[in-house]
Amino acid sequence: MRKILTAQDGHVLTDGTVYGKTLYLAEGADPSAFYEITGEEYAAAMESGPAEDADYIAALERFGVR
Amino acid sequence: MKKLYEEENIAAIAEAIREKTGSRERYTPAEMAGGMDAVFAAGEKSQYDEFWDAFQNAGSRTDYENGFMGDCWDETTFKPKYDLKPVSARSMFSKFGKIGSGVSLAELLNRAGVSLDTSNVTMGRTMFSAFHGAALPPLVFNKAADLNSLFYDCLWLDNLDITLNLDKSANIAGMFGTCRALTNLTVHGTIAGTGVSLQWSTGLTKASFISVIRALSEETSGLSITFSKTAKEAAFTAEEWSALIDEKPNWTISLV
Repeated sequence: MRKILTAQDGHVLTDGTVYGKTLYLAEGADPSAFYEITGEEYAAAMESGPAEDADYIAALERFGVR
Repeated sequence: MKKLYEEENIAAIAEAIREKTGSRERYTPAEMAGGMDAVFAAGEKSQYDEFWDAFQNAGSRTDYENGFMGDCWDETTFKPKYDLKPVSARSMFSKFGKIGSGVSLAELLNRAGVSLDTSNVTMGRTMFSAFHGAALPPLVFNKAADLNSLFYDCLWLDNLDITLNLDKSANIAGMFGTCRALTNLTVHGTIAGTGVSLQWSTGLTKASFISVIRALSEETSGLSITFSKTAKEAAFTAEEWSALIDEKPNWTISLV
């Protein structure tokens, strides 16, 4: 049976890779690997994406569409 | 009154029209004005052929990295002559189309009489990132090693049909990043990589959830996928949700 973890209000659970307010853990997953972070810390973690991709940014600038 | 032309002048005009249009039609003087339209059209076609033969390498181009990046590409300029068969497709349609235009890439391809075959794409990172349109044709990926941020920032994309037949080492993280408008998602094949998040798709339909979860690989472990809690609660009862995710006990399902 799955273990279900739920974060406190305003917090998010993470193991450094996956993030969630409610986590339905895979069978055999270790719940102790997860810890709570604040909403602000979560927002900061979510800012990554193509914005961090130097080649993507360079291409946008080269084509004048950044 | 002195005649302003000779017979040979008229014949020369007709021959000039035939030369520009490539036809062998006979033209009477009364028909020559209409022949000018044919000359203009022939010029347009010639310019079209010259551009697209060069741009698509007479149909053999496979490296389309940044190929149609930018909002200069829209319904007036995107008229490929040859089918698009990219292998290298990084940022190929990134920022394509005018913001808010609702352009459908499928419709543009259909108008041009060409197709987009993504089945041989190996590098598809940010291929459609920040695509400004609302619709894409069904997409098949069989060979991609990198589809990171494939649809990142497709803020107007509401429907998507995608087939994934990838090695489990393929990078598919961030594929649907900030796809806020995405409501209908059909996934064929198998999702076997981690880092896929549909947390921004708060209107994702029940059928979409089912399609995605049933596509999750049964042969992997330690992987996770994230959904919008709002979308999940609108779509499922607790019992329905429990039954669905229990089909894939090897996956951690996250709700944000």
